[in-house]
Amino acid sequence: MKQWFFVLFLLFTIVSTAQRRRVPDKLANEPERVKAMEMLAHADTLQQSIHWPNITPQKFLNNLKQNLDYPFKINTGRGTNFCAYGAITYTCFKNEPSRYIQCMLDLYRNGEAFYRDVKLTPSDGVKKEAGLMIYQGDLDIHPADQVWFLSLADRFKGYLNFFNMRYKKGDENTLWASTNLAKFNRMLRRLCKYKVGSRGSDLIRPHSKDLPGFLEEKLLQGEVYLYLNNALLRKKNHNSVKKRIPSHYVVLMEIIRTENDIIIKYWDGSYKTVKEVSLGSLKQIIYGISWVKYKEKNNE
Amino acid sequence: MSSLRIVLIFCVAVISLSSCSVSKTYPKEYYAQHKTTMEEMESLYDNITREKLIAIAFYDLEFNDISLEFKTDTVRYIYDFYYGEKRMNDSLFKFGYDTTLVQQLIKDMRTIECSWINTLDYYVDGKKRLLLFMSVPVKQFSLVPLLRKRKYYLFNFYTQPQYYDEQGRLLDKRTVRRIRKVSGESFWRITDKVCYTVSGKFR
Repeated sequence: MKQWFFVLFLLFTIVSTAQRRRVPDKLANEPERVKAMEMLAHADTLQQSIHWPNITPQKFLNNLKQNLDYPFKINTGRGTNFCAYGAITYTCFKNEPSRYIQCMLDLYRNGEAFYRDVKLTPSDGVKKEAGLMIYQGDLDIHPADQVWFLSLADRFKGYLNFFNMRYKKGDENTLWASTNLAKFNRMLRRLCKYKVGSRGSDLIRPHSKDLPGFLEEKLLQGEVYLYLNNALLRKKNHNSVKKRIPSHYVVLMEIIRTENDIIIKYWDGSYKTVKEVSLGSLKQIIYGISWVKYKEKNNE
Repeated sequence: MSSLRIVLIFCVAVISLSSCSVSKTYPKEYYAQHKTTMEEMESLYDNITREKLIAIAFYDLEFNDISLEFKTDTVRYIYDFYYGEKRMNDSLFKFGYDTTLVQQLIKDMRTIECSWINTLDYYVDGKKRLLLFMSVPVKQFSLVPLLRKRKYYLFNFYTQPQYYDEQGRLLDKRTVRRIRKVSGESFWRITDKVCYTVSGKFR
């Protein structure tokens, strides 16, 4: 009997270690993408879902196919608070597209699905609204992306969502969909099983003697996500008093030091953006830095 | 003394309230006043963006700090310049824009004090369409300039006539009497192809 307990303990340890060590790939995972394409090809006979009344199978599959063909053109909408889910989606598309496709197909067929051990069970309000979003630019014509973002926002909650937990029409633009830094890191850990490192907070900026150097170092080691004050990065008004709070998540792709300034390249939902900023501005805009380290081998 | 105080409070209240509100007729008057320049800008912008999109913002109200957004299919390059800076033309040339046309557009923007020009996409029956978007800061008086919250006239220029309800609000299409929102705002009619709103953000 003791031997069996020992074997069970050993198995549990091996499995948990493997999960903890999961790491993203440095390059996009091409074999996974091919596998995902095959899964989509086999799903051609998908029937109209009773769970998602406003999404036809054809539009749903076309959207998924487009996501596989052009993974970094996924659009998080014009006025939504989906940027955090967009950043998470970036790493899902890059590293495990077949898992994403399987989850989406299950979600469409059954109205619920697992992404690893995270169960997505979107509410009836979400199911009725998905496919009907309007005035959000490209997101209007991408029903599968609406399903994905709404399901993630419905599943993961942080303190910012405390006063608006139940989805109502138009809540994609409100606090219902917003994400604080701890929630963002939790989503990365739970969905992708990454070992996530993080600096900064929702109100106080991270301190670093050499912030560009720190970001360069983390970029060399893996994927880096930034929690930014977008009102300072891309001004939207000329008010003298600016809100000193972060409001936007991006995936940092590159950082280059020039003589006077710093050039940052980041993925921002459908676009890779290249922007020149001063060191002072960079320190002002960054409130949170989360990172995941690459490893030579994926142990999963 | 007390009546003087009451008069003073009344005056301050009236001034404060009037500085916070914007009449709906002002954007129409503004459009009528600058119609020729705005039409020229529309035409210039159309010519400039035939192959590649561009967005131009002024980050200050003296209209000296310019931010240019050059858009390719997948990458958006954002560069900041001072008005008249030589390297701005170098960048425009490098990205393949007609420098003369862009400079004329920037000059027009300064003339009418336009702080943002861009293209927005929207969908009707699943088909993508584009509209031209311009923003103009409203001239506001405030007793406490530091705490003033800026307002902007936002103008939309469509290529085809649009549908409006009896109150002049922009609708989705003729058959669907739903009010269309652009960047979260409802818009009001100026002409069949031009509409406006007042917002706290210029983009």
